[in-house]
Amino acid sequence: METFAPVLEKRDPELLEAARTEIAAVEAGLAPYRRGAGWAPYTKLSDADRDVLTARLGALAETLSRLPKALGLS
Amino acid sequence: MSGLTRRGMLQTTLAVAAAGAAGGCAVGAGDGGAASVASAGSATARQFHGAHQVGVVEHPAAFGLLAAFRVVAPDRGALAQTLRAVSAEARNLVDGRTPEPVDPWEPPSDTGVLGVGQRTGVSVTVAVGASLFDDRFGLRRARPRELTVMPYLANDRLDPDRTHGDVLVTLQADRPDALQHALRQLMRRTRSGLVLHWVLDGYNRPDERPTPGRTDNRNLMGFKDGTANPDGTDPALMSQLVWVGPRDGEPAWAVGGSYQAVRKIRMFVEQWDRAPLREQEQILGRHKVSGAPLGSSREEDEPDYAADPHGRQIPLDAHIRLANPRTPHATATRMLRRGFSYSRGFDRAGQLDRGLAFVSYQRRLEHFLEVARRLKGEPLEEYTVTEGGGFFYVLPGARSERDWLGRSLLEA
Repeated sequence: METFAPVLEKRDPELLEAARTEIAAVEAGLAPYRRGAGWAPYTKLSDADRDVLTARLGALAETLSRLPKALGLS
Repeated sequence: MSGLTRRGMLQTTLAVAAAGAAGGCAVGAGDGGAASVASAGSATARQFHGAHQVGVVEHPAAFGLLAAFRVVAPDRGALAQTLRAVSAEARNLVDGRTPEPVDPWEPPSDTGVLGVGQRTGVSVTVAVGASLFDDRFGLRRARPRELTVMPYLANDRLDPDRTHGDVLVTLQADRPDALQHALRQLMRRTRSGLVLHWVLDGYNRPDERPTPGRTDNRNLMGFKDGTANPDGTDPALMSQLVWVGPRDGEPAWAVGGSYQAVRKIRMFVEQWDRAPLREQEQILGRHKVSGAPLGSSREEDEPDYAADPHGRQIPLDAHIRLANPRTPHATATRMLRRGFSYSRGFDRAGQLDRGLAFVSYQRRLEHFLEVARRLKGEPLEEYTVTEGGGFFYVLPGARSERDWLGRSLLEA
């Protein structure tokens, strides 16, 4: 995301802010499952954490779907 | 756009976000990308704003869908935001508003499933489950008086993956594609707050000219279903039977809402179809072809139980007799049924998995529970099992553009 930050700061700071917040939320949700350099298997997720990650990733994906327009890729 | 596709970039960015998690965690990527901006559907005119949600009393539609969600919004403010988003989208869907055209480099604001230029013709009814009234959102004291987690009632084998939920959305439409469109539209706006818990969809045969006391609709046992349903177009009757009023002892926020009981009732159609016609009719209490009460000739004839005290015409344990014994009390406490038939393929034994998505609305949940108690042990149980559903409370309607479903609850 930070790759796009310089452009987004000018063109759509609101989107940048939303994406940063949501990426942080995804990372926070994943943190308990970090195992050394890798990750615990998906099957180790608790039901509650799976719900939360599903929701946060879904929300992030919806936000990121606005990126092409914000970056002026037309 | 120099070789960089929207989808490719989205995936790249997600991969960055998830920082190597792909090996361990399944990543829910974005929408596959629909093609055009659209709104469509049938001619059914509905209006979103009002004291009550419009989907409750409207005539049964040809297609129905129930979607139960778990709320993952972290706090009360986030829940309010989620319900605002649900309301905004429901308003668009119910009123059939055409979405704003968007820049070609933005994702379409609409799935495009319905094509362009017609109304969506879908009703959206939003209800909340007992589980929402816990400590997560400080709603413990706002729970409607009779709203509980659906207990074991009779002959139940509840599957936790198809039972209960924090929020239940009920969709009705004249076309199945309108349901699929509506569900996706509602979800894309609420991704951070709602996670799907279960979905059940199906169909009815709607009456061309709805007439109280008659219906052409039949359930998957081949019997008419809905003959004795109260008239949803009679506002005084609906106030008596369906809508919670200011003198019902419910929290003030709940006035204008209704209790919704949902039961996923599987029908063992193979066994049923092997039962003799006479046995089927004795179990239900009606003639299979005409829908008339046993011993009568016309569907709209009222069964006369006073004249049949020993059950010679209609057995004492026939379904219609237990469900509605036609006493003054039973008549005054009828529920409004808005269920539909479902089919979910087949089970591992090769038996068709189909049945009735029973949905009823009532002013008091006790009215439903009284019927359930009377039906307990009925002979029909041999051919059915309830596998899911739950108890919910339909939120009062949103009255204006600034109002939203759940505002009275969350701003109370």
